[in-house]
Amino acid sequence: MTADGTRQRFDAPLSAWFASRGWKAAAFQRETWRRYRRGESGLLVSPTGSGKTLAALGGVLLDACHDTKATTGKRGNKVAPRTRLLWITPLRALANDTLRALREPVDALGLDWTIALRTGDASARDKRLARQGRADALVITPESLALLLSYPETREQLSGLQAILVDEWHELLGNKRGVLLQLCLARLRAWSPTVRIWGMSATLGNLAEARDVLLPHAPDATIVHAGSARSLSIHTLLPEHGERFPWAGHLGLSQMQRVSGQLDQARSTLLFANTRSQAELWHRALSAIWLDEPSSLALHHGSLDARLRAQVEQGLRDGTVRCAVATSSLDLGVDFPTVDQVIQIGSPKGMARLLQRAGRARHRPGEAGRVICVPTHALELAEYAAVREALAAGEIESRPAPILSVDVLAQHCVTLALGGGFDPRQLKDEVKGTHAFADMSDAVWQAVLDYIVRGGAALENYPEYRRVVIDEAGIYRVSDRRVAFRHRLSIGTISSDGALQVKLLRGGSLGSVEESFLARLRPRDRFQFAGRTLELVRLQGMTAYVRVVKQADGIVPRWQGGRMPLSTALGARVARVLADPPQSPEMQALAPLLTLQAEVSALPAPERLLVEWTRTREGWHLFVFPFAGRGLHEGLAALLALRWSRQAPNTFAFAVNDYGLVLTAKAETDVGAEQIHQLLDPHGLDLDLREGANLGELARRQFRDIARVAGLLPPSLPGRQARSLRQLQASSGLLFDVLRAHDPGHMLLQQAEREVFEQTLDIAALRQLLARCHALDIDLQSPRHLTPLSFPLWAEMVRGTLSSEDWQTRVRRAAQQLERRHG
Amino acid sequence: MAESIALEIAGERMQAWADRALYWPARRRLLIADLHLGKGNTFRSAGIAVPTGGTDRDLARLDRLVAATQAASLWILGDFLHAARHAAVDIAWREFRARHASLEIGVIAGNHDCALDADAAGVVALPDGLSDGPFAFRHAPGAAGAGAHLICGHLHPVAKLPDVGRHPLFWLGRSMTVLPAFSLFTGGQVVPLSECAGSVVCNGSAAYRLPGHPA
Repeated sequence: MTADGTRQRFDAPLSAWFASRGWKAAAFQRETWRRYRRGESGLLVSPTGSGKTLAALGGVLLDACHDTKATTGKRGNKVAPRTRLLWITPLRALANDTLRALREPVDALGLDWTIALRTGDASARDKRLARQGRADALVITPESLALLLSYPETREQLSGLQAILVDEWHELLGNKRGVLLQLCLARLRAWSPTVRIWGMSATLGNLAEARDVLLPHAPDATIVHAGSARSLSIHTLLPEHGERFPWAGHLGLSQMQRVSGQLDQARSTLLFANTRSQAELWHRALSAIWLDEPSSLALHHGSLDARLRAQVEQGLRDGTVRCAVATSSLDLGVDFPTVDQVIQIGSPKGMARLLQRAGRARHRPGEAGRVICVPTHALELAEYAAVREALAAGEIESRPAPILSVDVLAQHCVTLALGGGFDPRQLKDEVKGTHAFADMSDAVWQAVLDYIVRGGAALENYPEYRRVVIDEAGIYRVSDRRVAFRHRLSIGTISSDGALQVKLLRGGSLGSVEESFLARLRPRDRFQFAGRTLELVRLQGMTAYVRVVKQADGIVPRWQGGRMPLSTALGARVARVLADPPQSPEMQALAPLLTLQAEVSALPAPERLLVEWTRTREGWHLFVFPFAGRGLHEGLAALLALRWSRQAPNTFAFAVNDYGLVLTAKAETDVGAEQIHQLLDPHGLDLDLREGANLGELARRQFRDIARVAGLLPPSLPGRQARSLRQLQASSGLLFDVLRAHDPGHMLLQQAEREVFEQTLDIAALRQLLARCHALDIDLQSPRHLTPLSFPLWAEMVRGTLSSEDWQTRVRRAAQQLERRHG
Repeated sequence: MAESIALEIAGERMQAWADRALYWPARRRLLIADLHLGKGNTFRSAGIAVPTGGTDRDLARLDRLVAATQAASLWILGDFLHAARHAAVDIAWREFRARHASLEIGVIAGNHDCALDADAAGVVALPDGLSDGPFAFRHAPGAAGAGAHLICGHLHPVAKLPDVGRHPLFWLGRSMTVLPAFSLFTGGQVVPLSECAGSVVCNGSAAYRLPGHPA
């Protein structure tokens, strides 16, 4: 290509910079730039860290180069600078990295851009720049974007917006944060109709839906693929030959030595655990044997203070951290090219998740990703074998997008009422233009308006209610300063249990722990947090003051949300590899256990539903193994318990795990294959579930998030409690009860019930599962003792009824007995 | 009608009523704490959509308790109000007062009671720490005076029982009894089960005494 030709190319400035770095633009990058320059929006699908940032950003930069040439504005003399680029990131932790990633090419192309961060962690300077619209590019989370929309001046500042780039869209797609973003984007599109929107997503099972949700205004927008998904090699740390392996693990610390050996072999490692408490425990166990500089072993999870997390991330980047024990807080984001290996402790839970985690570490184009898996109990070996098979077959989970989340809509409407007011007719059209509310009926829209203006549908129920008022021109506004203050504090849809700030007595914040955990502790009690053993000194306001103690004997906080279910797709794969083991090291290691399972009971098989009927000291147990994931099993167990107790009066307790469920009858009873077949009848599912699933209790639980999103719960402020909020403390459970008693038809109660049906119980999937199980032959086994498949469920059941210490002791004892008996 | 169970506290025969009130037969006195009148109104005027009905229901419960015990007096151990006064609540309370014109009503001011006007409410303001018989009465736990058994509220104690969930608690100790919060629109603080020996849990229609002796 001639020098002349290069100059005329649309991407010349970028190509020149690429060339100066010794890079070459990839085809997908050039395609994205070209499409962007043509004014298109689209979705960019790429495995992590494969140059997607430059792909998405390139078009914007090229535009800017073009503009600069056209106007030749003098430096320092920019006229009314306006924000032209919004970079939306799902994680605050990502924002700083993104800032760096934007800075480099912007500077390299000689653009005189102000780039600011607008997230919960942003500096005061950046927040001011953002508020004043004086940043050319803003890096922002969906919640912070919603917050911006609550200020009237934002409209002016964002009206010159040219591009919105949504990073990690797959992380937002399936939840209410995504719904919030859909609504915010609809508003931004209304202000700047020509704004180009590009999403960046990992591979998903439902990419077309992902695109339609992000770009409802641009049907058939393009999906650009950044090459094929990198192949992932899964290496499992297998138990030594003949080594006894726990049947039901919890933390996997028995694998400590082998993991430690792996750590020695690499310069740096990311060690992923599935829960925060598991991460704390692994960190504690590793520090006991850590021979290097103590600061080179780090801990990273979502409850830790942002500053601590940032330190760890920096340490990973500059190589001072050799091993970081992390949870999903590091699943996302800008990668760590300096990190050599990724280790996954315990279940991978799903294909997408494992890919994501593996992608965090060093990856060079053309190089296969690699992850080392550490089973915490025997059956996880099958999960690794299954995930490998699924990935080889190109199978990956879908993420359905929620619809009609009226709690989010109510919040958004108040935000807009605050940010200059809205006309309900216009806003209705705008809202109906989103994927989430495309099917919204007029009645639902009216209910949302009634809720924010009058409190509920029945006016007499809510005298003296003040939130949104309608002015003479029919514009909905917020005029009460207290309402405005409280609403801004509570914007956002991610919810957690009331969080208490953990602070050192000497000063310095360590992060936050769920209130329900700290409320159980008394002064002088010890607990493990942020990789240290801490002693509670006192609780004051929303802060727990602690001091560090030397002995490591604290209990570990158990956070909510740690119990992510196995994906249904992976569950089905697990059933398949158990029935027909592939030639893999994992299945060979698992063979003795499967042989035992086959001897004392039977192995699962595609055409049969394995059911075990066993008696223990706890009662009579019916174990059923559909391999459909914890979530579905919960609904199924409730259903079976109800139907069975109808046939014969009895009390049933149930427990579930990712492989199956157990129903435990307190009184003696018996069961036959035909009876089980009847219990699994898909007819009458809706009604039975309504009755059996303890819908009230589930809805009550679900209501916590809804109440927070819809503004029924005053925000809890870590560290301080605003005086005006003190008299507004109420738990979501209490509000739920009051609404049920005095306004049972309330929109938010219906929302809670609907979410329970559609999400918690996933009734559509449950119906399919039931139909599948009903069609299978029942393979009813009556083993004399618990089997390798039933033992983990039994342990799960016992765990529900005893305190955790007792549970662990007791389960360990029972496990030893069992292994002796079969050993 | 709600059940009650008989107890002996500091040598006095008492009754713990399942609807969250303690009755002292020797004085014909009904004792409750943390009525939090007007809590829903306070929420609503701050823009939190809590429906009405809570105040009426709480006062109706009190009606039934007064009738069932034939109490001559009612003492409210603090947090009579939740926050500011509200016209609708004032009316509801005045109607309650009129229904029980002969009932002597005493109120110890609690931390929520800044806006309390005893005369307007038709109640007698009682001093915090007032003693009668073997008892001292306060809103919140504190010094009881030599040898006296303290009866108070403020903490909203609840017990969390395995498989049964949270229930309001008459938290009995050797030298102190903490009443459950009377209002249904109140949350609670969980008292560790290890400290609940001999205490009484209730659910509105039944009361149950936990095994053991108060520590």
